[in-house]
Amino acid sequence: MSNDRFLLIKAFGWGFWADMDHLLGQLLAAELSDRIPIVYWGTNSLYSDTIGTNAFELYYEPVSAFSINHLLRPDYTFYPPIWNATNIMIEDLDKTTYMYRNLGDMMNSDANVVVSDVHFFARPIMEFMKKDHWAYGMTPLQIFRCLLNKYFKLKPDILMEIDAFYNTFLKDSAPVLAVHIRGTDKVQEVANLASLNKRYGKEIKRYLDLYEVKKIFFMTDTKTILDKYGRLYGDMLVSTDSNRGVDKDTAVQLDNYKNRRRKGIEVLIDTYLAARCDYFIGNGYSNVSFAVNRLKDWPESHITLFYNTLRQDTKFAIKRTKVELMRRRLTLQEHSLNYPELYGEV
Amino acid sequence: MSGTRFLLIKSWGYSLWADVEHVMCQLLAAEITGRIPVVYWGMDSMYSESIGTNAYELFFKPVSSVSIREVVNPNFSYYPPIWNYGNVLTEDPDKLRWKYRDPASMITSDADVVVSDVHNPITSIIPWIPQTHPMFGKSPHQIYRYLYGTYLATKPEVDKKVQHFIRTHPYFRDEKPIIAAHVRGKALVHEANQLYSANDFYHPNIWRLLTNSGARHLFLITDSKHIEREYKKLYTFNDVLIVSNSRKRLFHGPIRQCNTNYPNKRHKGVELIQDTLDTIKDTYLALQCDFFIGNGYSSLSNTVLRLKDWPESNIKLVY
Repeated sequence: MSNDRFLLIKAFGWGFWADMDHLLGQLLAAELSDRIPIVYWGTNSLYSDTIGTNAFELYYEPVSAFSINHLLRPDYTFYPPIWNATNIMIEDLDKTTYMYRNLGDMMNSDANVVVSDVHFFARPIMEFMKKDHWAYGMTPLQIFRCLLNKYFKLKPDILMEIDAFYNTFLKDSAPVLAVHIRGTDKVQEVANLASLNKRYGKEIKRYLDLYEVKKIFFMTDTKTILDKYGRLYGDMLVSTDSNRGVDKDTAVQLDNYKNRRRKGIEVLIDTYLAARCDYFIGNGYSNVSFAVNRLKDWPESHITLFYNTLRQDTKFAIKRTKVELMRRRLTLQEHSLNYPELYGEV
Repeated sequence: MSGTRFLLIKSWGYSLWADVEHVMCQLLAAEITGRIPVVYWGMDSMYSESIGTNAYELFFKPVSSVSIREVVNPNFSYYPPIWNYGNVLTEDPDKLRWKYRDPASMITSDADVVVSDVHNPITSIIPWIPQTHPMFGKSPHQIYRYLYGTYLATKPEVDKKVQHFIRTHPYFRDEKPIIAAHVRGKALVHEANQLYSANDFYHPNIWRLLTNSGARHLFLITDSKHIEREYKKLYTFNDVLIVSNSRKRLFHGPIRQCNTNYPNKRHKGVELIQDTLDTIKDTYLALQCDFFIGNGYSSLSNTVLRLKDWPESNIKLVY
């Protein structure tokens, strides 16, 4: 049996920076379990272009010298046991049940190839960290910052596009404040989003007064929000020509772009540009905002991320749980009415 | 221009151990650049007592034999360029704009005196470590261990306080092993998409150590009376709980001196020195314990991690 040890990191299948968050966590897991990471974003990635493309490599250089093709060997063992050399490119639609996806089992597996396709936060992964690891004693934010620097190298054309925009619109206007406001489908994810969004105005004013900001680099996925802030700040506001939605049903990441690579490039350009600004205000529940936080070691006084209070979050979680339980009850009722024979009725 | 070059490390203006971390990172910068470090916590420090004192030296021994007086010299050039002989001891109210304060320009500066008054994290200094330096290729934790071990020495007053506590608390003195737990009143964690209290993860870890490692006592360090009450209710058996006798005072972040709420401002220095000595005493008492559970986001907990070569299984920082 071969002693090769790989961690195949597949796409989680969410927004770009949500998938990157999953990827960063797994890169840490690969280091901690002494495996070579291979990133493969297949057809389940919202950013994949064609069946033969690894969507991750549309945007970044590979993270290791190996590709998924190196894993297509019948003599390799795989974990979780559902995988083998013939099916690892396929998306497992049952992955959200987390069956065979226990983090401890994955970290301690002896298989040649461990396949990771579900998300884990940094905290549980850090439980496996030994004292001699370079990240020992660092916070999740510090670790992910280092991982971003260590593994991710943008494709040259994307970097050129970022430079071009920066040099044209922002370079000579320092200090620049970057602002990221979420709308569209985020209202379904973050309870109280409207209330969070109302806090931006006051905070922007505080930064403008305190730091004599000359330009605001504005990022949003919602056209109405951009229009509103455009009216408020006029020429001071700078934004890219990214595609934007209008409501919860027109989320940009779910939009079917003619050129799907462009969808990823738009979010990347916005994120990296924001990280080049001097100050940042964003939404703590947004992976895009948090990516900006991770791309640079921001002085504490230069960045604001909005969150609900813990009490509010707990209240919303209880409410969400109740709604979910009710939904499950109704589904069960409906199922029993449609398939009475499965419930002991004839 | 003279031959000797200095790095003047001023106060960052945050909590005690955050300011000490700033000093340690700058000491690394001083080693890399071949500058003599001089630590000066003046009136802008949260811990200043009076205009004539260097607050750092109220608690810790100097890091070099050079005093602040030798750094204030009309013949010296200074960097960042806002500083000169006349103003170098004052605080720059605009320092939070970070102008001229990036690590690259500070490390490459040719000025006689480079002044550091904002915190550049160790990860931004590490890339400048030359191959000839003993810390080249080491992890941040290893570098911190080296810096804290080399430079941080407490004044005898602190040692006396630590010894006094041990002498007057027989459980602490005689009944090992002891778990030290540093629990902050404010322990809200803001991570990607997550908001939670780190304090929720303490009790399972404490119980694990109490049951698996045969620990006899739990030494609680906290800045919160609420946490103290909670732990007194929970750990009632066998006199297991030992609470630090320090005053419980939440750190609310940097406050301008005029806004500090000491009832009698003339007593501020005395009270503050006592409180700060207590904080340092608690930290060094934690080092006397066999196990430690702390908050990974807290400077105090991280100092405990860095001051002793803990066996991996004996220390747990909650994130």
